[in-house]
Amino acid sequence: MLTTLLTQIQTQLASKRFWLASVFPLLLFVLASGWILSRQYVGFKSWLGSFEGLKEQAVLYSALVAIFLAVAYIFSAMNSTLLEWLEGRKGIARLLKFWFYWHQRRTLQCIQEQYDAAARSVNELEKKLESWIAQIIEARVAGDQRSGCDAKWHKSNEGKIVRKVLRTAASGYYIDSADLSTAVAAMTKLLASNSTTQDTRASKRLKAAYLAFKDAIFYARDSSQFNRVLLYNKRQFRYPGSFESNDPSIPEAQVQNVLAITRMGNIGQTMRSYAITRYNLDLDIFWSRLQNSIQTNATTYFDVLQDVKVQVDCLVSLVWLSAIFSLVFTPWMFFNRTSVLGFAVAGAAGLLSLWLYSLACSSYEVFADVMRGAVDLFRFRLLDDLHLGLPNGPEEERFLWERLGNMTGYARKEIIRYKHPGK
Amino acid sequence: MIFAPRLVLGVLWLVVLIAGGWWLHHHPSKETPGEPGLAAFAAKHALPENYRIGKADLDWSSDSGKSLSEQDFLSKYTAKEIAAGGAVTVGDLRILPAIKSAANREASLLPLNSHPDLIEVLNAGSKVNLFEDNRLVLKQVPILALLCDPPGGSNCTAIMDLNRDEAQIYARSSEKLRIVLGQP
Repeated sequence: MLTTLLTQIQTQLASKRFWLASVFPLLLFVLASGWILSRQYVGFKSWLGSFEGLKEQAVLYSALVAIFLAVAYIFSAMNSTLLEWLEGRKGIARLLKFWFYWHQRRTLQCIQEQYDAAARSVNELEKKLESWIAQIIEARVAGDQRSGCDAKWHKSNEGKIVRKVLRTAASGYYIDSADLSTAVAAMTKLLASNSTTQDTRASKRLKAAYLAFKDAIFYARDSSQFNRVLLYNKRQFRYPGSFESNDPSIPEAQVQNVLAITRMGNIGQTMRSYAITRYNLDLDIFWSRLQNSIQTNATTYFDVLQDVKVQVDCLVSLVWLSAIFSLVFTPWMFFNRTSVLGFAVAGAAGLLSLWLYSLACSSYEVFADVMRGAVDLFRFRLLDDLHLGLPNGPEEERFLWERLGNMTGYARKEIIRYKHPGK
Repeated sequence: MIFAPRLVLGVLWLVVLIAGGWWLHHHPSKETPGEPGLAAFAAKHALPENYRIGKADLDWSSDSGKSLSEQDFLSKYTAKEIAAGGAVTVGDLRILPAIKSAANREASLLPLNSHPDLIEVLNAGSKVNLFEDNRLVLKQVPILALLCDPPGGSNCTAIMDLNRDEAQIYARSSEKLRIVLGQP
């Protein structure tokens, strides 16, 4: 529903969307198909060559351009359908629904598990950080009382554990709190039994390791926090619902928690889910009204929204056209057995479509983010346009959108007070 | 370990491509585009190499040439000798003649500006007699090719195949030579 509504963002013939999202991909498709056909069929090549002699037949040229534009326009009308197919709402993706849905659900579970582990790690690190620092400082003081330093400390088991953590930190990788805890114990043991103040290579090396290890502890804390936030954002910007979605204490049904069967579908659902979880605002009902408010009050923001949508549409078109190109010409080239190059090019287009799908998903994430921003920034403008008073707080706002949604979307009777300008 | 459907499909597709490419490489088609049997017009008579194709030389109603355009054949030159009734494809033609000079032979140009009637009958494989002031100076000279500018136009020159003596005689002769078609 929302996907269809989103196509309203731009549908004019002279628009950027038409040229970039329909004409350009279709032109690429026609050129690629022409190239492969001209290699395969002499007659087709001759037909193409006959265009050179058409200098005075401008009418024929014009007719061909007009046909191409008409096809491109029909194709542009299919953009929303093509996007819905990639979202898994309809189309061939539903044939493999069980597999796709299982994968989405499993990926989401993995993210949630990783997030829980990261959150636990952050808590543990924050709790133990001070004691770990104190522990290695004390060990160093005790070790400095000694008169020697083992020349091969770095080759001991403790040395290897410490060096591993230092390497991980220096490479910018994530350090688990359990690994760090083991490394702290190893470092403590090394420092307590070796001096860092001797004028030997091993002692100087241990001192450098001690300083680097202190930095590594702080790095582990910061990177854990970063990782936790990263996973949180991944969860909320790639999947509908929230971490609290499975809370059994919430009595009412939560439509926003239903997963789509593809990554693109879930990214698309985040827009609606975000507005519902934050404000109880259902974009399926209010998007076209909100779009009008944005278009009227914030042209620049609407332009940004349009530009990102054009990019998404262009990539979606390219995904489908390269897939069609590949699915048609790969078997064709194979059974005609005339060109290995043609077969390879047609086959590579299939892999290209998979890569373009990833790009389309990334682009759709950006679009979804801009859409969420639009909800945050312009929802009060919509209330103004609907001649409704502004709510005093978040709870009041949630209640207002819910009643308004019931009234507008489901024709239920609600008591709402209007606020007309000038009165 | 979660294998994304996209990854699985991509790997499967890659395997299919590698297997298909390998199979195609080891089982090439017997017919390649442009060879007889695919799309061609039949030759109405034997065509020597460097023969300039005219309207009367090919059977334009050949079944195998339905998808072809006459424009791709007219005023082009044969790249090899073609027997009468043989298939002529686009690949058998070239835009310009390729003249190979044999030992002790010289190729000389014979302008045909004042003989428009000869343009239709002279071609690679023809022979001509040259007269100067009613005297036969060169007899049965073979023509290697007919060059026209533009390719389909009437400003043409024949390329003759002369031996050394003939080349000297031709160089000494006046510009007003009379050309008479020789016996094939």
